[in-house]
Amino acid sequence: MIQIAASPVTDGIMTVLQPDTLLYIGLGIAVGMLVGAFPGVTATMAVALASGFTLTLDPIQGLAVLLTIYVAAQFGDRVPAILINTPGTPASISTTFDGYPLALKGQAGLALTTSAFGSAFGMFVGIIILAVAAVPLSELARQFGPPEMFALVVFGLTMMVGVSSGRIIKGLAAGAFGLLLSTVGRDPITGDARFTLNILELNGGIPFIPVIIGFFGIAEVLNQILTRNRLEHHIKPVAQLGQWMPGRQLMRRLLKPMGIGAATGSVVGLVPAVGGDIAGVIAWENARKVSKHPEEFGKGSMEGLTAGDTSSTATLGGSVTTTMALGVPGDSVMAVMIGSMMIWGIQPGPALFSTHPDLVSSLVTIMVIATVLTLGLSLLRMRGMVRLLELPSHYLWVIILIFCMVGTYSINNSVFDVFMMMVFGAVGLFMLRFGFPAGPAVLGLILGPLAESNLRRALITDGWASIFTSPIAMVLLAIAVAALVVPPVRQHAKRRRIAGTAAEEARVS
Amino acid sequence: MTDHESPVRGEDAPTAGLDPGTDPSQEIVPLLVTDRAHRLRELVPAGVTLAFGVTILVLAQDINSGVRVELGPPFWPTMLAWCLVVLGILMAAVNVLRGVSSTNLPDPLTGWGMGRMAGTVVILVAYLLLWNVLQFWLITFAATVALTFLYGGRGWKPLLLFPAIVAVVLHFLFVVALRVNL
Repeated sequence: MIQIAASPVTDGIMTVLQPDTLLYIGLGIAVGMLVGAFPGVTATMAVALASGFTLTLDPIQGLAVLLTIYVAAQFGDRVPAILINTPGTPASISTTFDGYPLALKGQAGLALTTSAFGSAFGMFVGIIILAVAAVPLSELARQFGPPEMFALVVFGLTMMVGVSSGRIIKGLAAGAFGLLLSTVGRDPITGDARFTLNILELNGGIPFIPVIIGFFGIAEVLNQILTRNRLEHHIKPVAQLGQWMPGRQLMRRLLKPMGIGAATGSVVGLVPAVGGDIAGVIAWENARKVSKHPEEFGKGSMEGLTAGDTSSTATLGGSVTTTMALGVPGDSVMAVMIGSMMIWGIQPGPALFSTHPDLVSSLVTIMVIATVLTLGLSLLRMRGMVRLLELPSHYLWVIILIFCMVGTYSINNSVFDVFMMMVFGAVGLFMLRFGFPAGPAVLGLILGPLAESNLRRALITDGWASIFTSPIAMVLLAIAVAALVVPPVRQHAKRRRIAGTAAEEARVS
Repeated sequence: MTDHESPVRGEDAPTAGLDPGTDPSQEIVPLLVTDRAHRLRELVPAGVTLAFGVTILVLAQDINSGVRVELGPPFWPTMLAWCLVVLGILMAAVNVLRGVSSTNLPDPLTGWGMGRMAGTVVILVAYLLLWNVLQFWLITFAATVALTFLYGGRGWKPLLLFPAIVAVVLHFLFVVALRVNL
């Protein structure tokens, strides 16, 4: 008989291999695939909604549901991108570049399967990064004192704002709004009441799950209702799937774009707040530059499709790594997940892996099982998936709205929570209509107490000098400033170059 | 984001992809919209940001702290409120005077959509108020019928079968499985 010595690694794996946890992984896959396949329902919205249900579960079971939804949505969102030229979630934007043209050429089946293989490859590379880098990164971050922790929060927040191209000021305002929301309730150091407006329920602060559901559920659906036309018809999906499984020769040709995608996604994923949508576009461009057939890109290139999809999923491992090891969410789905983890009593951050040494292997196991099962599901030739895309949106709207209401109530059996969710749904709708990104606001709400307490501790110790004399804090703050300043400067330069070229062409003609 | 800003289109609400045959790499730089109506519209978010900052500055004066220290409870909210004031002014200066990035422009509202949203709010508020008055499955069934009808669902499948499935699933999930007091 083989004896398995108990260690955090085996403990973490065995916890996930319990039948009930596997059942929750199966549930997460089903929900995630559906969520990905329906354009307009994002992974963030689904994870926010699911967080209402999972709070009563054991933390590992809850994490299994949330993480699996996220993984499976990365596969499901390729289906509408390929069949109706509409990304299921923003992560599959690059899939539309070549996926839909391939479907129009009668190669939808091949596009779906090669995309699934690329996504799985990217996911496994990301998982390896999580397994290898999470603990060393958290060990490094354990050296951080209050000035460095404050700088880390500012860094995470500004990275999320920085990728909001064209709306840096509104992103910063949204971040400051979120940080201000986190000040409602008791002061983290003195315990004094702030902005509670004599409402008893606000003494404990603004409940963040209702805020998240309001921002990502109610606001999104109301915006879709507001802007959809009565006579709007669905785009008819490409129904001819053609050849299904790719041959060996094609798979060999796709190894290079997969490698490019995996490398790009791994690097991008480690940067907090920069997600799969951006990674996919960057990898698509990188693959085009080195391809022997760059002229095919954008017109139905298997290489372009695979590079983008591999890259966008490869970010997930890095995103989980920075979230767990640093406590700074890798993207908005991770911000929602941090909210749930805090309710379970798990505080992501440098101390996480010393207090929960088995967590890394649990996370890795969940992601591996989810990836393998979702890949298997994606390779089944399902005509039902095509029919699903023809479903009218009103079914979805009703389900999301009702689930938002009941799910929020179920967290604490509190009507006040539902009221808060509706209020923040209205606030989220205002933000959507006027171009404020919701991600920084949620991040500010979650990281606010961490930022405030560390800043005040640092200032009490040695004033502003404690921050300016810390090399780590200064490097993080310098990157944060660069993240805010560089994108608008580059955009301005690009606009001037385009305007210059146009003027030159006008003069010549 | 994977769910955040798309370099090509808006955030969190994926829209149709590019027309096949166009060059995706050319679409990444957001355009600057400079027409008067769009620039004036930007006064709303700038004004709200400014007003919110000023309100917090006023409310922060009323925070009663037992501890009299410079870095007390009002310090952080006051600092953030000043940030909002500065950002509000900056928003007005940049977006109103220079122009608006195309990523800031929302999809246009439709009259039918606004009517449906008003109806949605009424139905949801009524649903919440009647929660503890009527049986949960019954009020969920009624709310689902009303919402589906409002959004254009007609016939027995959308108006009877679909609401019945939603009511049964929710009753089983929340009342039976999660034992929520509904």
